[in-house]
Amino acid sequence: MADKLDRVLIARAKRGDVRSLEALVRRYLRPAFAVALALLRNVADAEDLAQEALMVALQRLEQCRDPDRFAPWLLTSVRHRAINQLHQRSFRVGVIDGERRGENIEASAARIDLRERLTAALEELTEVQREVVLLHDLEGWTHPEIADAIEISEVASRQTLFVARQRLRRALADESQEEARHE
Amino acid sequence: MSSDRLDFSPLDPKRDPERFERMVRKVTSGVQSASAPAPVLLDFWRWGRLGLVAAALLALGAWLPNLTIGQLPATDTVALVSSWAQSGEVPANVDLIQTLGALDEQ
Repeated sequence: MADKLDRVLIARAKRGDVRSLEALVRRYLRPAFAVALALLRNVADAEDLAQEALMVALQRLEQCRDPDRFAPWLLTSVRHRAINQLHQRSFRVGVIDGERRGENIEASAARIDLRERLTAALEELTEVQREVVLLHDLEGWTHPEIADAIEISEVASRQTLFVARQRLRRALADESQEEARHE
Repeated sequence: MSSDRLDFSPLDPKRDPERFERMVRKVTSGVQSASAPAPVLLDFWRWGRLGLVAAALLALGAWLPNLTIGQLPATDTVALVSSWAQSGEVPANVDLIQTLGALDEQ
């Protein structure tokens, strides 16, 4: 995460190098999405917000004086935007707008069902638990990286992940049992 | 630890590589278009800067003679007295008192 590559990419992007800019987008779009999803709990809104927040952060790259702190700087901005959005709008929770995404609804029905189940299960967690589990299991960040980015200790990150996974598994199992009962 | 990992792939924006690429391009082009100033603004900025330099030069040209001529008698009383002496000019009483007063203060 906050390594030499980041420093190089940020320095080059500041000088207007498009490839470095694109590399930063590739690198940080999914972490930004993970944090946005943890707060907004809606895939479509989280994707939109992640793109917008990343765009603005990269436009203001000059303000990021310490490239080693780019990830925390970006994720803090994502969090603030998400909180603002939550205050301003009422959100559709867990509803996926298939048409908007340009997907074939029939073909993606199973995937959407899975997505809905996952987003519903994520509802059972706290914001921090969602952030940790998504950054770890979706993005693949390590505990030191997560701890640095969301400003908690490594121990807290490990404990939070453990509890979050337990609660998610329980929620998903409950949903499966509920469905089986209906069938 | 990794075996405990939950499968979030249905939520993963990278699950559809083409769509993810579109998102990457959208963000990248958004950053680029915002950081490049509009041509009209760029022209305005260039000409504005030139205009500012020209105005500063004109002001300097107009004020420089006044500054150099006007400052000598007021700030340098010794030079004033010597100029009276050289030209043989008899100063007015008021000028003489003011000048001598200034010399006393120095």
